Amino acid sequence: MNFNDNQIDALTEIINIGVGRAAGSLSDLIGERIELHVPVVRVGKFEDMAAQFIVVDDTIEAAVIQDFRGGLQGRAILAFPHESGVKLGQLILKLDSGEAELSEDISGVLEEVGNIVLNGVVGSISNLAGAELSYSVPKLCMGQRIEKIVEAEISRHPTVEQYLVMADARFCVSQRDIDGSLLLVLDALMIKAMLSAVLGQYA
Amino acid sequence: MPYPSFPDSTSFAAFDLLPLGACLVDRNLRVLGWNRVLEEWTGLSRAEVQNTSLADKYPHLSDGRLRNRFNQIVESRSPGVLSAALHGCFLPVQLPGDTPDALMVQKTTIRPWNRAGDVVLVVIEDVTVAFRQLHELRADKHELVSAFAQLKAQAAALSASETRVQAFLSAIPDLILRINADGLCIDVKPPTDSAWSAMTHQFQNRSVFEIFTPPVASELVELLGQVLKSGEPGTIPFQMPIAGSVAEFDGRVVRSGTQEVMLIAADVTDRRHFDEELLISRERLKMATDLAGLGVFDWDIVKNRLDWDDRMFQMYGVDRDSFESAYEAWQKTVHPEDLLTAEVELHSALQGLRDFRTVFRIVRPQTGEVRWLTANGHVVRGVNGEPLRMIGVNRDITDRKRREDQLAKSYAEVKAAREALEAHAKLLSATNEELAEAHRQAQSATRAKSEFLANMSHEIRTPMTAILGYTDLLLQDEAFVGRNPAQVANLETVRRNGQHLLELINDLLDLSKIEANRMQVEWLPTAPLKVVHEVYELIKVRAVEKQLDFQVHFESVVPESFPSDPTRLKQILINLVGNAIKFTMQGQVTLSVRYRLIDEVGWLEFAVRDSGIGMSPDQLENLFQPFGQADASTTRRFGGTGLGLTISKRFAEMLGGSILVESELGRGTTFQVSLPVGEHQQVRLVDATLPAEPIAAAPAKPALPRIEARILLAEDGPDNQRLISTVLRKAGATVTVVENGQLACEAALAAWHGGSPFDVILMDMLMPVMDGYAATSYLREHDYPGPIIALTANAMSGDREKCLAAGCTDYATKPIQREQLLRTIASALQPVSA
Repeated sequence: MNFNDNQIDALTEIINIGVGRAAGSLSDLIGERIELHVPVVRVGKFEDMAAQFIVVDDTIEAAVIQDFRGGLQGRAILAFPHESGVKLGQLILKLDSGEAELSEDISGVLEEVGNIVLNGVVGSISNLAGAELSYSVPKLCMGQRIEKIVEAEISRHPTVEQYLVMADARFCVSQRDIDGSLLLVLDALMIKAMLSAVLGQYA
Repeated sequence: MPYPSFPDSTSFAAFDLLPLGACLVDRNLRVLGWNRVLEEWTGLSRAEVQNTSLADKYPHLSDGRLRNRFNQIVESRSPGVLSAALHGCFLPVQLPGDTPDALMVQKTTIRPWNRAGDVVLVVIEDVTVAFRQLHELRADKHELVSAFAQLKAQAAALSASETRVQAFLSAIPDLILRINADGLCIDVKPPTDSAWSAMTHQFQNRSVFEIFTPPVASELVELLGQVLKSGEPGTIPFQMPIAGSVAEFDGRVVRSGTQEVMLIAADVTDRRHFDEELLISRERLKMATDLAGLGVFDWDIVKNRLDWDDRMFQMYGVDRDSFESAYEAWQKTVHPEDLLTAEVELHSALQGLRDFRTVFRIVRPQTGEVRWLTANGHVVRGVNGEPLRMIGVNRDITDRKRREDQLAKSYAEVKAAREALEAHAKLLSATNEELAEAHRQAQSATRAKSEFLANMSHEIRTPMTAILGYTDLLLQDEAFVGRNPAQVANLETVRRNGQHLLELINDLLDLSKIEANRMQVEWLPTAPLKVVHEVYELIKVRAVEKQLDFQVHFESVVPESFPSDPTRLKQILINLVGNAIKFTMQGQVTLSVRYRLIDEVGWLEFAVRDSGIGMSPDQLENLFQPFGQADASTTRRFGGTGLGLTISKRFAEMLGGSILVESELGRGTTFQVSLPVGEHQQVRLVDATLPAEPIAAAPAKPALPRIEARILLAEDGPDNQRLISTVLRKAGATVTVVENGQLACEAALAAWHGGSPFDVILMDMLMPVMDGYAATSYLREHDYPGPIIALTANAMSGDREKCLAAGCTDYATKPIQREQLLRTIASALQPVSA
């Protein structure tokens, strides 16, 4: 099954509503304006999109994972390449730039940032889907291959057809752009239903 | 993921089992559950906190970042984490055994407890240790990083310098061995461009005894010890059998470490085989000699074979075919008279005493013609310095020699003629010249002495300024006088003697100037009435002190003005009247003035009469000689230099007049000064009397003027700087001191351009760098308008002229007299129109 442009646009919009809210929360938390955009969204079957992992695979170092169950089930992941993760942590904690490691404090901050962003995004989706969700506590995962994290979730529900939503998440802090990757593993039927509902509403 | 099934707070007790802090709170932070760990951490029991809001106990939870985040999480009804780095701690926990402000670092997780989301579970994890370790790690890492960077830099520097050393070494063509104190070769740098450089690698780790022949090795070891000990490089020439032949080396041994030396061995085998080089030199020589018209010879001394080039044969007039090609062949051609000299020169050159360079004659064998030749030769030597051959050139200088001889002959003739003429002329002028010379010598001796004194003027007077000035300052200091009555008398003595010394100096200098012909009179309109009045004013105080009657009589009308020098006239009169008062114990002194006409020429006569001790005819005779006071006892009794009369007489003569004296011992003396006034018709005569009042009584001394002005003082002597500025400041002035003319110009122009010019500049005339004359001229050239007062120790009139010519407004003499200085400044300060 393929998604047409309208559907992709709608999905992009939904996710951006979520990250927009998250950016507001982050700015409040840090006391400095943080902007967050998700410019391009791709959606498809895991197998079809596996090629794109090759690009990010080796460089992903830190990923925040939150699972959700209830009316909608799936996994939300915010992943940072090593340098971006370190840079984002430094900017938020105002550390000097000599630090090169994803140390205890920086990974803690990334975890909280991921927590806020993922809650925003998933919250936005669940609102539209009208689903009541329960979430897992966010979990920071270091040095794992991102496709394994995705695969683990997919294999947990072998009977359900699942789609992967992949998006570039661009943080702008202190006039610096920092790129991360946002990944959502979602029930394919749910996505379609949700998009139909949304598009129907606006049609 | 179902909600945990703890429906109420009692069941919450299960959380006591966890090693984490855990509590249940509602959205207002009211506590519904509180586990044992939190009781331990906070010291608050479950009962104490139950149903109370944590915001009441912990102010940081009532609002701010943490509370916002808490609300956000509760609102989202999804779990949230509070990172330790951003929030520090959720509940402040004082850590035991630590500094008071050391709080536990906490990571806090909040998750909805019920479906409504109005109760949340807060789980708190102690991550202090991890954070502490992190910070220590960071600190360590910083140190490591900087240490590493340093090491890296050092390594880079080392490798750079090593590279340089290597490059340097490889640029040296010589064989270099590093040898340690035990004589072991620890490193080898093979020679470049040498057929046997490859084999030198085997010297590595060999003893010098394995590398060199035993005598060389022994010598080297000995030298090595010396070099290591003294640090001074040594040299060792040696031979080494290499590849079937013997190579010769010049070795240098230098210390390259505390326990090692470097042997730098230059292969000089080739240098000692010079034949090829020699051939090339000869080719070059030939080209040069052809151009210069030189003949070339090459004499193989060992084989006694003499080679000449073509030009040599031409020069000597010898056929190549009949030439014997040996030293003797040359010997035969040399003029017998010159042979000895030429051979001596030749053998000196062979022995290395000097280069071969000589001039000799030859006799051409076929024609008997005599030619002049010069010869230059260079000796080529063997290894031990033995002469192997001589190569050199001859040049035929016969023509030149002839010309020179001719020239010398004509020159000698001309010279002889001229000398004869000169001798004649000399004879004629000799008598005159001798006479003149004797006269000149006599005069110049006197002048030299006088000039020396005149030149010393400044140097002598300057210290006197300081001595008298400071004495005056002390005596005018009422507080000082009050405290030190005894010293006042002493100071008075100092002042009196100082003044006397100064008078002496002034007289002496004036006389010197006169004798050095450096004294000049200025011809100015001179008003006799005014001069006499000034003399009277000056002298009468002394008369009053001695209770003498001092009177001035104008016995006729006198010229209103006549051309003379008022300064000198005044000096003459002061001297004569001063003497009269000095030598008169009682009675009176009179100064009479009258105008007389002699042959249509007017004369002015000043007669000074006293009723003093008088003089005998003998005394009168020497009166006008320098130091000719009547007798030595007079000096003791009356003081004075004995120069005054001499000077006065010279002045009178310079003014075209004379001084006459009449005296009778015990009855008094009369001095009469006569000065020419000029043609009678041109003289305007006036009735003259002194103003009535001044004679009656000594007027009260006028108060010293206040000088409220900004004054620039240019003066190089520190004593005078201090003295003059003290005098000026006491008078109310603000003084800026500079120490040479250049600084004075800078300061004056800067102040002027800056809009607040100095009111007066006091300019010492003799200063280093730029003197007062130059400085004043410079300022006037730059249109400086303000008054400049010259300070000069050269008190005579010529100097005054010079000061005024340079652009000074007025002048004051050194030693500085306070009153005179202040009055001069005061009058300079008055507007020109006044």
